[in-house]
Amino acid sequence: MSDASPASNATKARRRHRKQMLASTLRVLLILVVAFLWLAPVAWIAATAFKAPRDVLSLDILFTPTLQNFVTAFGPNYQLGNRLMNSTIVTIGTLLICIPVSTAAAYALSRFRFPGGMAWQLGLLATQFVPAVMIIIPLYVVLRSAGMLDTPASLIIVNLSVLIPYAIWMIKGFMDALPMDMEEAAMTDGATRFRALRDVVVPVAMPGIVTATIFCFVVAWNEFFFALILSRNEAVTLPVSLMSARTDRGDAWEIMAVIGLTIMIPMMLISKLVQRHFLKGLVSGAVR
Amino acid sequence: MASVDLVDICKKFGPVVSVDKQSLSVKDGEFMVFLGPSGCGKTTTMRMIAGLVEPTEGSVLIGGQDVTYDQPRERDVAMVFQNYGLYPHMTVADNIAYPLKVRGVAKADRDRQVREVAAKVELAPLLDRRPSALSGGQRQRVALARAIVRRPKVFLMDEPLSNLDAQLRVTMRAEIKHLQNELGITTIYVTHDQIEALTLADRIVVMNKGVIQQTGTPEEIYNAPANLFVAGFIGSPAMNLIKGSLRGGTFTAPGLSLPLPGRAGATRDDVVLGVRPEDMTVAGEGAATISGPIYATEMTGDAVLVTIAVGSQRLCARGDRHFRGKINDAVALSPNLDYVHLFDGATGERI
Repeated sequence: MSDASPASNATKARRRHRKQMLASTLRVLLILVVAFLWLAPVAWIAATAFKAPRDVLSLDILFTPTLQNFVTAFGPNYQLGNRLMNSTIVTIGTLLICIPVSTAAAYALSRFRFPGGMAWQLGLLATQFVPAVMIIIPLYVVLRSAGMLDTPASLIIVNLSVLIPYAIWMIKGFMDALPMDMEEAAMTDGATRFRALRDVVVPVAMPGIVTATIFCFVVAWNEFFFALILSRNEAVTLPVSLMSARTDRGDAWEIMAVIGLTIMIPMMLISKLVQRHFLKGLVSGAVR
Repeated sequence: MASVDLVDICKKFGPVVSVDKQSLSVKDGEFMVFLGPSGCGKTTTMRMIAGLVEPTEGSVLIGGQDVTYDQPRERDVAMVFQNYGLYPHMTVADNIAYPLKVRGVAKADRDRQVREVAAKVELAPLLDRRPSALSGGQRQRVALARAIVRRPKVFLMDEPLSNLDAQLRVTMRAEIKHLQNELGITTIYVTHDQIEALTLADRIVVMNKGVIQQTGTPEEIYNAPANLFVAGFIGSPAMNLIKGSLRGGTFTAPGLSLPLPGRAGATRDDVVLGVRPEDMTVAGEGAATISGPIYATEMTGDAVLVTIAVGSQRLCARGDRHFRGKINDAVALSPNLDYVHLFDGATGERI
């Protein structure tokens, strides 16, 4: 390279610079397009929730915001308050049972040998390959016989049947990676196995447990199919209540937007809140 | 404090026999080291004493009481793990206090005991830290402090120094020895490091393939190995083992002939003569009974290890640190005949 003149070097540098500029402009454009595709529907729903019914289909960016849609949605026709309560009960109920049960089961599967070995774990996973449509009929018949149709309890039970196997697998993967030394130390220190699980294994496995909790929360909160079939008036959840905005007089898009926003906001808030704990968990586990 | 007795203890993992019907007594207050290569069953034996592994057969007695099927927490033993087994989400103080906490000791009492123990192992300024903010040596001290805080009947230590660098290992070794002496608690220590075993132990148990090869004081193990395995395993560099035969009290092998004192007239085929490198001196050619060309010399600082070729064998001697010889120079090795060992070539047992 020693024979290259300073002039030709400068040209090369300019060309390289132009290339880099072009690449970075393209990258930014691509990011903007993707971001737009992700955010535009959310923004559209958020805007629609505050539009008067006559403005719903217009593409005007400027409009006079109104809270009337919320008043209507929470009113007797749509009972959004009741639906929100149902969704909250079903989701929290599901998580309160699912996470402790899955944690205990994951620990057992991770640490003990069973007659039949891996068959239990694979069987657990295999149940999840059966499509929901296939099991809804027997579930419907069983819950009807038990007089549990249209109750939050029935939705909690059905959610658990779907989520526990997934949560067990997620938490088990995390526990498999934890060294046995810690819980063995706790047991020689005088703890029972349960106490070692509570004092040592669970806190250290917390990032995995939190991950499973977020996953279960999202699935339970958004669950539509089972709730649609198994609820009628009393136990209707938020996703199903979206259907109520399709009326004989046409689709009430502004009400759907209000319901959509009600579904999204808690998820956003909770993921923000949990994210912080999630990171804290990750750091505290980082030893050895 | 208590004695530990293993009676015909056996552990099988499926078809694999990890510990094969062994019996052993550890005296009250004794520092016993289990020594052997990886997979010899030493850790499994210790875990059976701790209650972390249930024996397939046999029984474990602590202080004369049968604890074979007791849970670890019911045995009053404390264990230091190879990877320390610290609780990463707790501070050093909480780690040390945990055994007291699960036993329901009141907080004020707990704090006082933690401070006392922390001072003993020089952890006092680090009590508020998490294990992740400690060095390897400090973590090891936390594990030790957690073990001694409640004065258990028996200490179990599973290769506690193997994750430390060489210098720290020497320091910690001395500390463990001092601590055990001060507390007088029966200690069982597992290691594959013979230097650790020889320096720490009151008695050593040498194990191989699930079988106890020899139990004895470090002197007994070193000076009178019971069989070829112990002879080859203990000592660095390893003992020279030469196959040959005994003819009229003289050991003969291709390229060498050694009259052995105290074996006058003895005749036996298929024997193995063992002599440690430190029991041979390097002499000029013709001065001694084993001679050959130098195969290699290794300077270790305090000595020069001289390896010579005798027939197809290689023999190593620990020579003076000022010895300078070139490869293929002819030298002779002069063994101290009071410290040679004879083993049966077929069974490997000491003769």
